[in-house]
Formats: sequence, structure tokens, C-alpha cells
Amino acid sequence: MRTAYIVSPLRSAVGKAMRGTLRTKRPDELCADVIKAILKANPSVDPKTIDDVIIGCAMPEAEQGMNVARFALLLADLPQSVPGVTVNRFCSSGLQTIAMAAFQVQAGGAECILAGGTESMTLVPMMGHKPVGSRKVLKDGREDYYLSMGLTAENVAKEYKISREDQDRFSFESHKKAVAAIEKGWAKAETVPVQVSFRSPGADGTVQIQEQTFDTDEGARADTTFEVLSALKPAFKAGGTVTAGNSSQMSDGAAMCMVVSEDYLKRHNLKPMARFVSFSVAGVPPRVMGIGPIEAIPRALKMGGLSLKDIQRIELNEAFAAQALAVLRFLEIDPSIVNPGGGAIALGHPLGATGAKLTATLLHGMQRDKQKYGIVSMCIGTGMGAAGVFEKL
Amino acid sequence: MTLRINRVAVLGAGVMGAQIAAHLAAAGVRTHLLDLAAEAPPQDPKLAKLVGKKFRSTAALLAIENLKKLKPSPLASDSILANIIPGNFTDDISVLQDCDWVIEAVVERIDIKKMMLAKIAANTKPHIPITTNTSGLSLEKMSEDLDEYFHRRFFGTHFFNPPRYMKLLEIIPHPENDKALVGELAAWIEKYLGKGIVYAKDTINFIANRVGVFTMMASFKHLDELALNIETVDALTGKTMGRPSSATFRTTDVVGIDTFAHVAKNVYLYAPDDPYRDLFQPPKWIEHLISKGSLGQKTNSVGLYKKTTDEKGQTEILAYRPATDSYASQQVQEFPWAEAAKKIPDTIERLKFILGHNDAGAQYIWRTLRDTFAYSAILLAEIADNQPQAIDNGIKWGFNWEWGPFELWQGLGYDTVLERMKEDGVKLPGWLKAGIKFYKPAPNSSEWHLTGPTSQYQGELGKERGIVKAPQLFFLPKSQNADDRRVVLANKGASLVDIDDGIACLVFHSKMNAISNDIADMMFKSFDKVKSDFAGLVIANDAEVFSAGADLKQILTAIKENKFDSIDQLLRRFQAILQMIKYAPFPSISCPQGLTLGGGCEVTLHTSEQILAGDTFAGLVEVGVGLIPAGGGTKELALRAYAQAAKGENADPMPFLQKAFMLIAMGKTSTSGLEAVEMGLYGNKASVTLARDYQLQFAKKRILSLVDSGYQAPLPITQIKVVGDAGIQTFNMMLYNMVQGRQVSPYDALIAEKVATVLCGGEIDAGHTVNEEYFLELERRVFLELCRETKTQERIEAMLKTGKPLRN
Repeated sequence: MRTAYIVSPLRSAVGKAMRGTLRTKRPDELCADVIKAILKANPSVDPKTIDDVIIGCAMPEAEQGMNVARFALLLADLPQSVPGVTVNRFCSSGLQTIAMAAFQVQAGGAECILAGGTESMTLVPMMGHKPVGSRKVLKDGREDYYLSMGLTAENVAKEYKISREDQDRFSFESHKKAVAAIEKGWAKAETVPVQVSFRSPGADGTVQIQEQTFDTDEGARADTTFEVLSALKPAFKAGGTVTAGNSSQMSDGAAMCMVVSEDYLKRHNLKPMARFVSFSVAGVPPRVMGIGPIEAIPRALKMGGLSLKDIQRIELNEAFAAQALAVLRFLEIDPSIVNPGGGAIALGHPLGATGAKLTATLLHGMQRDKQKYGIVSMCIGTGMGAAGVFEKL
Repeated sequence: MTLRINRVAVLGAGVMGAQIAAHLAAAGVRTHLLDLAAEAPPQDPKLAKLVGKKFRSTAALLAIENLKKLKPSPLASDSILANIIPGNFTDDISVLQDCDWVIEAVVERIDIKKMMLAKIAANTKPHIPITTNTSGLSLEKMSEDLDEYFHRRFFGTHFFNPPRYMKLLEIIPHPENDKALVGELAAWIEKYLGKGIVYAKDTINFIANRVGVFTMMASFKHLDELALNIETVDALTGKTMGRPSSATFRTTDVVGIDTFAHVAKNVYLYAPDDPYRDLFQPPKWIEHLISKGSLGQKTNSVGLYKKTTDEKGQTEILAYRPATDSYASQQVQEFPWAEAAKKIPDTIERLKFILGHNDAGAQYIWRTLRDTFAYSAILLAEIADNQPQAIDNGIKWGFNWEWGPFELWQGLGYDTVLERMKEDGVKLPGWLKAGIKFYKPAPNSSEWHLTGPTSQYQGELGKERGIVKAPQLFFLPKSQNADDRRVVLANKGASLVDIDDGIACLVFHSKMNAISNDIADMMFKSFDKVKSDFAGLVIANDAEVFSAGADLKQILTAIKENKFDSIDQLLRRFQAILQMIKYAPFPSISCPQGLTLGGGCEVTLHTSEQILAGDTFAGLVEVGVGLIPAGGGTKELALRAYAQAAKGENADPMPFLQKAFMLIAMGKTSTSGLEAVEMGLYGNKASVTLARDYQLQFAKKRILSLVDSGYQAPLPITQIKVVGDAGIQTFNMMLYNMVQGRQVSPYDALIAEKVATVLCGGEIDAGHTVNEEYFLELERRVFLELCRETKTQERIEAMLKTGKPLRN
């Protein structure tokens, strides 16, 4: 089997949904900006030689419908001969696409694929614009398929005995780490500055256009404290423990990378960031969807012939503090290797973009700290978990 | 009327000024609210952000913000804030040039008032009314530096707190006033702001506060003399006497003990000749509470009562004990007449019965009444220009008493009361001779209820003066009344009344105007009658509530006897008559006001148009008793949702259905007429008036105009493309999560699913086309399904027993 390499994992900064800086940015255009940056960083690549563009998106409709991958690549001015496909596995979509690209390269089906994800939670809400319930699900003892994500986190907190205090402390740490990382400029190398424009009513019926460059994650709060987080009311369940403060933020963002074969690497004289080692996705009961990584991480490690001891860094999506803590405790993962620059509670979780975003963060972090093996993992709505293992080169 | 008021300025953004502005705004008037200009932005960053560039008007902006927090809410809806424009005396004084009325409501200091009036005089159009909202300062003094041109248009308009809710507005004319202008503004205030006008003389505290506060002070005195505790006095002086349930001391706590004492002292200081002057000196223990800072509601609810919470979170309201300066658990003293008195619904009859006793409780009631009667008689000339009605209306509208002092005196038997007063050695004015009738006809007599007072006795002038009935008042029957010659048809539950000009009015008069079999019968009979003999139908009443809903007792009995067929029949009849009204060849208008709930609300949804009173608390609240609106209420909201969606190209009905679903499934009740429309309960044929007294007249005029402009029955609704089962399951998806999140009980969710079932058009494939009748069938089916549920039966039983919804 051939080896698949990851080149130039890059991303946009993550904007807060609804009121954040990316609120007007279309997810196809945002992703196109990241694709352009990858090509700019690799001038030796002839765009015509890109075999496919695979983009993950969790709610692929409206502005991110119409096969957003094809639109993103066309808007990035790739040749019209380059195809594109959109992939949806909810919150792991952006990792799923990298794995699919890698498998294709490994199998000899492609030499170079652009893979990643994009999501605007501002423009397309969770569950999309028109969720429709199913009689089969609701009247046949399967209602928990529709359990809201927050309530699955309540279930996890209860079953894995994760206290409110631990959740709030974990969330406070996430903010603290994120604020420190932003101060140190850790994310600079992986972030593509993007242009955002705002069109508002001007004088006498004219349009006032304001342009802005967006290059820094905006979710982290330097002013939050453990006490502030402790004072928040439960957001999903009366008497529960899961709050807006110990849940991931809704966000807008895009992230992409180039997945190539060894031949392609040499031919274009590219510098790979990492070797794709393995990927696994597993199903768990939908009512406790947050524990997905408990199943996915050991499987992915086994496929890669590695064990947790070999792993020096993990980017674990913080969908909820409750589920993240349950995963860490169950797998006995050393918390100090997890999300050193903060997680989704502080930085945000742009659903379909998250997998690729965390891959960029993981690989650049490992480069900085000279580490070898790392994992990207997340839980997935309706009860799944995904994990990808990478070897930093 | 020549006076047109589109724009008003209220100067002074205190609690009263801001609330007056809110009431004007609700009446559709563009209102400038001005206060002192700030020199710099506020220090507090939050406030600074709030006021932004308009920091010069911080005082007014904060007063407007505060309106959102006040309870009871001065805002008929948040939307009316768009009608309030904040400003300041320095930069915005020029707006006065555009105003049609200026109200001065600055701090109660004569020097400041004088300054403000001079500023107003210099900045307004020459002929507009300028009024002060002072509650006690002399108008003559306030305006002494200004010329006769100013005096012509300057008078007092004293709103009562809270101005949105209190009907009373005292007008205090200035001797040099242009009387026509005062009259025009008074008429405008009645018609647009819905206030009741009482003309008062420029005397200390004017009329209502002078007499009302006197009664409170008398309460203190007799409390000490008869050694009663404050909670017993409140039990005696509330509903028992036809007064608000907050009675005497709870009212004092709400108003603020200091405010109340200040008003009392005003009399003590500035009315040295007051015959009861010493009474206005608050007792020592009241002074003590004020010095301690225990002022009532505004000081963490510590005043004459104290709210405490124990470890278990149980709250208890303790009562003050002056003797020990401490708070104790309430011990309401029982009196032998209490149980029997409760069973007498008529206040005057009840009081007559109580006054036949001689225990401390009955004595207390007697002595406070006696003193109030005497005081009102003594001051009749001085404060009310010898018009008993001014004092009675002032007290009724300003303090929410059912009867004013003179009405009550006469109702209780003028001579008997007079004799007893004389026995007690009460000081009385000389004109109170035997056999006087303050009013004709006698208050509470059958005739009185038909016409209201037609004349009043002018005290020391020793003669009667006629009272002209205001044309907007109809005096609709409050029970089956054989003497009322306007009544065309009547039974125990309702009457059809001829209100002239070819219009008939259907009046409910059952208990709480609950929709009973009687009412349904009368609706059918009225329909036929109106169809043959009248041009249009108004559905309105003069009661406190339009209708509290369906008669639950009837439904529960049928359930218990397993007579589900009879419930089905009941629903069919109710639905049928409402459909008949909806598609009648004549126009109809309903006048919701007060509680307009459940079945009562459904009646109003089926008239051609609705004219709502400002204070309308309307809702389809059936889920509270485990049922759904099945008199066409759910159907009406569904039809409206589908119609709204049909206006868009291929638009999805779900967001519109969702709004209807939330209204019904949450049993939401409006807090005002405006809100009832804005929240989507009523459609675009509904309008709102703040003038409750004019509501029926407006309805009548509107019907006449509909008749004159060629009214045609609405087209039948036949092609409704429903969302079906997919819609129901989409609501179920949400409900499931609400149950899991413990936001609603599983049974709440089950009822809500039934609401969704009707709204979505049943468990069928999406896209089927149905007609209006189909929704009525669904309503009945679902209603009967719920009737068979034990938990629904429990809910109905609880409501009948406790009057409160059970969430099981």
C-alpha cells in the first residue's frame, strides 16, 4: 500500500456564529480562500493535476448546499476540470474527507486531493433550515435518535459521573489555554487571513461597504472565570449540569489540506507535514453520543500499530466538557497532552470544518514541539466517534 | 372635536413622567420624554454603552429602560417604545414647538416647577394645553409669575399611579382657563387614553388622595382603638368591603410607607383647618418604620409586612406588630359573621349584613366607613364643588373601590346611617338633613343599573342637579333583567339587547361569563333574531371579564357519567353557532376585555372583526385543564397560519404553524390588547382601544359602517394544503427534547401533540387538501381523546377546586 502525505494543513480563523466577524462570509467563499492559500504556499503544484476536492460539511444546504465542494473549488479559480464532492458525517466531516483522500491515494486511485471542511453555523442552523421528524423514529421506541446534543451530554455526565464543577473547571482551563496560545501566536502558521466585507445601509439609499481582514480566533474569553462559569444556568435540562459555558461554541470556519502520494511529493518537490497513519469511525448509542471517541481512538491506534503510550499530542474536539472528560477518564489519557492551545469550548466548533481544523492545529503544534505521533478525535451526533492518527515528519 | 393630539411632550422622566409617556405611546401618540441634560457619558461602562451617542439624554433613556422592569408593566407591549423619543431640557426644548400638549411632571418643588413652566411658556405654540401632573402643589402659586395668556391654557392633569391601569385622571382647572380648551382635552383624554375625568378644585391633594388617604389614616386610628392586628384589618377592608384585595396595609406597602406618609403630612401641614387634621399625623410606629427604612415593597418587601424564606425555600409573609416592633406569623381574627357574609355576592347587601353585628370586626368596618362618609360630606363644597359624584368617581377610579362613599352611604340606607353617626357623636355639616338622596335613582337599585345616576344632590346648595348620561355608556345588563326594556331575548346566561340603530348586542352574564348551555342556546336564538330583525351583532359585556372560558363543570359531569356523546354534541353545537356567526350575512364585532379565555376567546375569534380593550388578557388556555381549544379556536389559528404561508410562493406553513402551536400548547395569555394582536392570537381584523368606556360605541359605529359599505360574508375556505403527519412528528421531535430536558411534563407533551395533530391536519400524508370543516372534526376527535385521559380529568377537577392549573 502506498503512503499518503499531508501537505499544508491550513485553516481560517474561527469566527463566533451570529455576531462574529465571519457572520456575512459565505462558507463556499471562505473555503475557497483557504484553498487559494494552500496553492500559493505550494507554487510548484500545477492545479490541473489535482484529482479531486473533498469537502466536509455537516448541514450541507442553502449557502453551503449545491455541492459546496464544487463551488468552493471553482471560486478558488481551480481549473474547471477539477471535480469536487461534499461529504457529511456531521462533526467529523472534516477529518473524514482527509481519511477518504488518504485512502484513495493509498489505493492508487489519486495522486493529489484537496480535503477538509467548511461550515457557517451563522447561515445554516443546527439541523438545517427545515428539520422534519420521522414517525418511525418517534413512535417506535427510537426517540433518542433525536435527542438534542446538550441532552446527550447530560446523559454522559450522569452515566460517567462528571460533576458540574469538573465541567466548569475544564472549560475555564480551555479558555485559559486558548488565551495564552493566542498571545504566543501559536496559530499564526496555520491560519489563513481572510477578507470579510459588510454591506450596510449608507446615506440616501447607498450601500456602505466595510472591508476587514480576519486572522485570529475570536471565541476565547480572557475575562471569564471559574466563578462566572459556575454561575451559568443549565442550558438544556432543568436541574442539569451542562451550560452554555461548558459546551462548545457555535462557529464559522473552514480548513483544508493537500493529501498526496510519495511520487507526487517528489515530482513537485513538496514538503510534507505528516504521514497519514490510520483512521477509524465507530458507532455508539445515540443517547450518549459524546463517548464516541472511546470506541474510535483505540481502533485507530490498533490499525496504525500504535498504542496510547506512543501518542504525544491529541486534539480532542470539546463538544461538551462532560463528554471530553468522560473520554479522557475512560481511556486514561494524560490531560496535559490534550488540546494544549485550548479546545472548542474556548475556540469554537464549526461542525463540518472541525476535523480539518483540528488536523491543522495538531500538526502545526507537533511541528512546534517536535513531536512524532498525534491524534485528532471527536464525537459525532446520533452516536458516533472518529479518530485519525498522524505521524509528524 | 377640533383638538387633535398627535405629539406630546412629557417634561420630567421620573417614574410617573415615564409611565405617562408609556400610556400616551400605547394610545398611538408620538411622545417626547425630556429630563435634565447630562454633562458627560455615564461612568458605568454598561450604561455608557446603553446610551451611546445620546448620553446627553441619559436620564430619559434610563427612565425608558426602567419601564421594562416596572411591575405591573406600564408597557402594553415593548413595541410602543418606538413612540417614546428621549431627550433633554437643554438640547431638545425646541421639540415643544411641534407638540400639541405639554405635560409638566418634574420634581414636586415649587421653584423648579416655576422655572419649568416659564421655559414651556417660551417654547410652545400659543394655544396648546399645558398641564401639570402635580399631586398636591397649588396651581395658582406655580403659575403666579406667568401671564393671563398662559393661565388660559394651563391646568392640572393628575394621573394616578400606575397610570396605565388606574382609570382616574383629576383635572384641576385654573380660574383663568379657557374652559372650552379644558373640555376638549378632557374629552380627548377620555376617548383616547381611556381615563375617567374628575374635576377637582385647587386644594391640598385634590379629591381622591384627600379622601382616600383619609380613609387609610382612619384605618390606623381604629386599628389602635379596637386593638386589631394589621392582617385582620386587611381581611376586613379588602374584597369584603368591595375594595381591592390588597386592602389597606398591603396597598400602603406597595405605594411605599414614606410616600403615603408624605401625602398625609401634606394635609397636616397645609390644611390647618381640616376637621380631622390630627388624624393626618402618622402614628409613632409608622414614623418608626420610616426611620428604620422599612418602607414596604421597595425596601426588599419589608414594611408593614415582611416576606421571609426558610431553609426549605418556603416563603412566609409575616405581619408587623407595633407593640413589640417585630414581625410575627399572621393571625387573622375570625368574626362570627364571616362565613355567612362570604355567601352574599352583592357588596352593599353584604355590608348591611355585617353592620348588623357589633363585634370588633363589624365595629371596625362601621367606624372607618362612618368617618369616610362624614369627611366626604364635610369637604364636599371645599374640594368637589358640591358634586358628590366627583368624590365617588375619584375614589372608585383612583382607589378601585366598588362604590364611592356617597353611593355606599345611600345604598346602606341614608337615614339609618345618619342616625347611627349622630349616636356616635360624629361631627357633621349642617346640610345633612334627614331624607336626603345623594343620587337618583338609588345606587344599586334596578333602575340605577339601567341608567346610572341621573341626578345628584349638591350638598350645602340644597338642590339637585341633573347628570347627563355620556353617549358612550350603555349600561348593559349584568343579569337577566325583566325591567330592561331594551332586552330582546334573555335567559340566565345571556341577553340579546337592542342598542339602537339596528344593532343588537349579545351580553353574557353567567358566573365569570363562563360559556354554558344557556349561553349557547342564546347564541342560536340571537343569531336567528339578528338575521331577521337587525343589521349587525356586537358581542360585549360590562363585566370585569369578557369570559373565563367554557363551563368545565358541565364537561366533567359528562365525563364522570361516561357520556362522551353528549360532549361531542356540546362541541358540535358550539362549533356550529360560531361557524354560523363567522359566515353570517350580517357583520359582527366582539369586544374582548379583561379575561378573554378559552371558549370565550374562541367566540371572539369568529366575529367579523374585534375591538379589544387595552387591558385584555386573552388566550387559548385549554391545555391548563388537559384539553385543546375545540370550539374552532385551534382551527382558526391553523387556518390563519396556512393562509399566511399561502401568501408566499411555495412557502412552508411550518414556521407559521409553530407560532400558533406555541400560543396554544403553552397556553399563552396576553398582558394587553395590543399584545393579543401582536402575538398572533387575533388577525388583521382586530383593533385596540384604550378607552374601555368607548369600546361598545366604537364597535357599534364600526358595524354600522360595515353595513353601510356593503358587508358580505367571507368566502368559505376549502383548499387547505396541510403538512400532515410529518408536521406532527416535527413537533414531536421538539416535544421529546422538552420532556427530556424536564421543561414540560410527559402529559404536557401529550396534549401538545394533540394540538399539533389538529394544526397539522391529522396523521395523513403531507400535501392533502382539506376544508375548514375537517379541522373542526379533528378538534372534536382530539378533545374527546383527551377527555378519556385520567390526567385530563384530574386537571379539570383541580381547576374547579383550586382555580389554578394542575401540571400533572
